[in-house]
Amino acid sequence: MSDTAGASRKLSWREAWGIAGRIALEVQFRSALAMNAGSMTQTIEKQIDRARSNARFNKFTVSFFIGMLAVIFGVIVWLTLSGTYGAPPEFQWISVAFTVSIFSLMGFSFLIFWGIMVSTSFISTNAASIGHYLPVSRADTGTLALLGYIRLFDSQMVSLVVFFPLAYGVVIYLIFGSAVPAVLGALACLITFLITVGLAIAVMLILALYFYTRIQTSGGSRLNNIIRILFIILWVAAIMGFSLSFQLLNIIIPLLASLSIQLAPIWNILFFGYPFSMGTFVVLASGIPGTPPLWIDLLVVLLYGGLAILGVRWARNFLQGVGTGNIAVSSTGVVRPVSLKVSRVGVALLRKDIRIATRTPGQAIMFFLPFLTMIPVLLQFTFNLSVVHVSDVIIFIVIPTVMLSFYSIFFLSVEARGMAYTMTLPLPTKRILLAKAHLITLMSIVIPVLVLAFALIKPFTNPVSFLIAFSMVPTVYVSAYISLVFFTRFVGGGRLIGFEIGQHITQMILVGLLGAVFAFIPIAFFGLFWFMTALAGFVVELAHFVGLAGLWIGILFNYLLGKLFARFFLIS
Amino acid sequence: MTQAVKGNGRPIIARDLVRNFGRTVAVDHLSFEVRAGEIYGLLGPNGAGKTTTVKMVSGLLPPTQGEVEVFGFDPLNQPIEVKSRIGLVPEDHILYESLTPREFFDFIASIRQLDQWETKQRITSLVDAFEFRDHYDKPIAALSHGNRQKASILSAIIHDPPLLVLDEPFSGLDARTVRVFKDILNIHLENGGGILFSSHILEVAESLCDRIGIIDDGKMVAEGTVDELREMVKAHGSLEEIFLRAVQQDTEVAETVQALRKALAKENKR
Repeated sequence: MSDTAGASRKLSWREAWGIAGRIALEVQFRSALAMNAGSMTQTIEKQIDRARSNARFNKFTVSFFIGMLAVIFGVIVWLTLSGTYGAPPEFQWISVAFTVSIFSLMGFSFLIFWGIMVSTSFISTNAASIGHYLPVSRADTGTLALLGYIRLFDSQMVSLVVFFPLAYGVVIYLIFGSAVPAVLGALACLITFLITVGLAIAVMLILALYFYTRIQTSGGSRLNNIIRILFIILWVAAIMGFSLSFQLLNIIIPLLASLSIQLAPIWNILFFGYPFSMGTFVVLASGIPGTPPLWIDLLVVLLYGGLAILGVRWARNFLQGVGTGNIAVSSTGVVRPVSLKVSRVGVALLRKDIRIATRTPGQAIMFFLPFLTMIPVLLQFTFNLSVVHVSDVIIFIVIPTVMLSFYSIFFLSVEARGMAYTMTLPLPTKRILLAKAHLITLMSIVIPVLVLAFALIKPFTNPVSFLIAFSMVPTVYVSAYISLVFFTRFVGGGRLIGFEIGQHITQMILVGLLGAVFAFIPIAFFGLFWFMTALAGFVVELAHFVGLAGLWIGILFNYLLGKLFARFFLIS
Repeated sequence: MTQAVKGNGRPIIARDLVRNFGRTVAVDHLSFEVRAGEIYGLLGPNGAGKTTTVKMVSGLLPPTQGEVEVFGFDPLNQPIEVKSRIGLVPEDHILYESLTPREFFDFIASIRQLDQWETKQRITSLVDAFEFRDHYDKPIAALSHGNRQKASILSAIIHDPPLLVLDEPFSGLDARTVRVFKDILNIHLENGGGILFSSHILEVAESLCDRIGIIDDGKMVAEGTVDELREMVKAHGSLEEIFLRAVQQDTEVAETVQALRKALAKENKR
């Protein structure tokens, strides 16, 4: 019994930062372990290394992305101020204000999309409690919890705060040739993004708390399922909005600027709300000609600054409270009577896969991803095409079809440690694989549905287009099944095994590519048969039908191959 | 326990089992059998090969050499027959963490195609006996260690299997649940079922097991009833003493404790 046990001391900033790094690593490791606890092949040391390298990789890629975004937005500011971006010269300041505001909003959203799952892990793993086992003061435990949380996003936050102010300062200097507006502008940017980061930390934690208490730790009642789906739809919509606004920047900024001019002063109210007040503040600080003296905006920025400080303080107290157990983060629900519902084996497998995959937003978004890729193509076609040819439809459907062929591996991976349980059940391997292929096939039904919806907007030149779209459903089915059989053969020797993304990344990519090839075979057969018929001098309409026959021959070929592989490759 | 009569032979017959992981020999020519109506305890220190043996018996891991029969079926070539007759409580909680127990038991009952009405009666009684009703709609990931263990046990006995394979089944359970579970095991034995019980908690094994196999470094070092083991290793007293003598750690443990006593003595610090 040491005499010094229980003594506490004040931590230096350097010590606190170092310990916070360990806390952040612990969160990453515990999250990885929760996904991979059934691991039979990876040692704990390997899992720690992998958690560390994954965290570094994520930090690097996200920082790189933010850096690139900062450069792009810097270029937009430069083009605007040099008069080549379509904004009227007298309203260039509005365009610049919108550019800065949109970057700020994008950074805010990006931190939240990326950070909500990490924040949920921070709460669920109770990593904030680590500081309480150390001989440090109560105030220091709160600081440790906050710093540990911040260190999960440190490089992303630093990139956001540093890159754009730098880019902005350089652009202002190049345009006006003076250091004063450049420095003042860059400083205003810096303050803007510090406020953004502060607000993002609080919002992330509120959303993560909501997600954890209402979705992750509460039951599977109908209401919770609805809330979960709504949450995911909102999340997906926000990501889609983020992606679309990035693609349509060249339209959005001049449009907002024009609307501001036409509908002033109604639109000017915008400048007092977040994030537009930030853009106005930066424009005011850098003294861009034509900027009206909106000094009241400074008060608004001060208000947001105060809110950000309050948000960070709240986050610190909240994290400290979670760590000590003073703040309850698990929800209590109504106790319902015990019941049991026995369904068919296939239905039970399907239901289980859907439930597991939709319990986390990060995985649930995968259900929407193949179809999200169709939206930009759909928009482009809507704007640019007067009629839709068969070839347009093929372009429209090929990406989601090929993408879905990678989903076989995704549905194996979502089970994570649960796969070890599946292996204890009296289920033939083939039955489990078929259930996953059926689920992917169900998802693929959206392809013809979207094509039909597209037909309501634009006229189609040939009805074969619809038949091709519907043929993607069996195409996806056979490619998913073949890739699952291959994976089981080459990774598990014919038996299902506990799947670990980190451990099987190469096999996963290879099998995904194989699935993509099998998904492409019927489409290639269509092209081949169509080309041969057209070459023989037949009319195009006939070539389309012959191509369709070729497509079905491709599907049949895949189907027979899949059956053959399953027969020789799979072990019950 | 309708499936018991479908199978032929004893619950478990393991002959000359070997399992290598690279150069490491986890299980080394191990033979034992579990008879109907008995609890066979597989005891051994950490890393002795107990869990590997459990996995081979359950058809989750193929043996490098040797063979296992579960009610006359080969777990490797007839896994469906074997898995439908086994209720497994693994050492780790292998469960679908994001499902609630309600969803999880629905899934198991559906996969095993159990009778809905009968199984509902059974699971209701078990849930009440385990005082688990309050946790029935919480995701398994949000349950405490003890409640996860309860979920794991319930998932192993929901289908009333003729053979229970239990790897450290009492881990994390409170005294009340331990008592209830022991009674459930007794009822299972009275109904003619068999149990393979793997543990390193000797007090529980001593009070529960009809026969015990002590393994060390993958090898069977002693086997029999507690009295037979006592006679075999010439030890007196509890199973702990028999165990330490069997794995030849009694002298080493005494020396370690002696050294520790010296190191921790307060006089040394002054």
